[in-house]
Amino acid sequence: MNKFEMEELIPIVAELTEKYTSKESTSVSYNTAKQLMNAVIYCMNEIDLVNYELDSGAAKDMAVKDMTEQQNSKLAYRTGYELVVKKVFKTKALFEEIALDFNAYRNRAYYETVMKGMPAFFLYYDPKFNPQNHILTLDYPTIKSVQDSCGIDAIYEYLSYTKLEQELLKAFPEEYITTLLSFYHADYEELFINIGSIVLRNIIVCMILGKNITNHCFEKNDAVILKKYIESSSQEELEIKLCNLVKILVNQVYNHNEQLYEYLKEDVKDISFELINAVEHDCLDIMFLI
Amino acid sequence: MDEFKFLSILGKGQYQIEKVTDCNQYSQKFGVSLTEKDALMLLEARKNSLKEQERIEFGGGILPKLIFAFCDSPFIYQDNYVDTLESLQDIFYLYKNESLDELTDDELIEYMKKHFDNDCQGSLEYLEDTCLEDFARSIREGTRGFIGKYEDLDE
Repeated sequence: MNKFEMEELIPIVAELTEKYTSKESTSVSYNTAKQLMNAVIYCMNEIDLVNYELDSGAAKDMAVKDMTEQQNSKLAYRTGYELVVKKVFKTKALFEEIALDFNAYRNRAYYETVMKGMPAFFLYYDPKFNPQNHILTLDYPTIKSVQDSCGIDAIYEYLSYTKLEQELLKAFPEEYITTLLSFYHADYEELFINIGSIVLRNIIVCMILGKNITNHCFEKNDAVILKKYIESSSQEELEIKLCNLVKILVNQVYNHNEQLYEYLKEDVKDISFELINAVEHDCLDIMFLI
Repeated sequence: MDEFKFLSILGKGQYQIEKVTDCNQYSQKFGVSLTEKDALMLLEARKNSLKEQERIEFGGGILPKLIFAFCDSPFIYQDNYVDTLESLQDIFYLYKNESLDELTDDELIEYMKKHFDNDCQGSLEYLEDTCLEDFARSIREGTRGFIGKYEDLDE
């Protein structure tokens, strides 16, 4: 939030420091002061974030747009802090929804990040003195990275992606996914891999070849068809084609879920690159997992 | 965040001189007092000490508390008053860091005063290098055990 000067933030940080030390220490280390200053800035930035979401129609329940225009820095901080707390509850509700029928497909990183890490996060997250610290390392990689966000924003984004990914995976039998992952790597349970991404690759290849996704036999001719498909276009064109395939998949199987499409679209660039690379090195068979 | 801008903003407070000289009303009972020039010098020293120890202080600072705690010491008299306060201030900030901020201001000052008047016999070097060094090491090793319980340590 750039509209406030440093001078305006100091009294808020001073007040927060008093609370942090319970008035038992007049001074704090640079690191603590930095942490508290970042806490104030984080809360104020939350107003901008919610306003942006309001503009894009993503947050209808947090009406703060009009009241932030002429408020002073203290009020802005308080409003921002309340928004952070609200977001914690919103994130917790999202987690509870995911946890109801979460399936990690025996991948340890996935299970531990979501089912063990998240409850611990809600236990230790500090929205008052350290809201920018999301504590978890979020080891299980999602297709869309959350590295540009921090604090509760990062956790909310991460859980939103997890929800979309679970939605993607739930449409297929568990046995199909675990078999696919076993083909991908015998030790898939211990790897830090994105399950959704592996499944999506297989689906896309099947769609290109016009095969049933559970059809377990690929023929020699399939590699030729796939090679032709890839070679017939540049990488940009291939990306567009793959995006269209993802769109078809989402429209047919996931009831036009636009958020899921936007999420899966992030992986298209990598898939297209892998396909082109596989053609160049004559190893297209690695794309045929099942 | 621009750290140095942050520090320069903090240095603007002028009301601290008054807060320090106000303590004279109490310290004069024990024959020690500070002029405005002394107060200014001590506040300048405080600024340097905070910078050196990489700490930030809001409000009136620790000087009034140090004055109230130490002005009745038998080892402090007008001639060494300012220098002793300056050293005590440096030692205080140093050991706030060394004790990992696990001690409150009052706990640290009380410990300092007790040892300054007793086993240190007014020696600031002994207080800094021996008593507080041992104390801080104990805190770092045992962490929370000593908080609010330093009297037990003496016994």
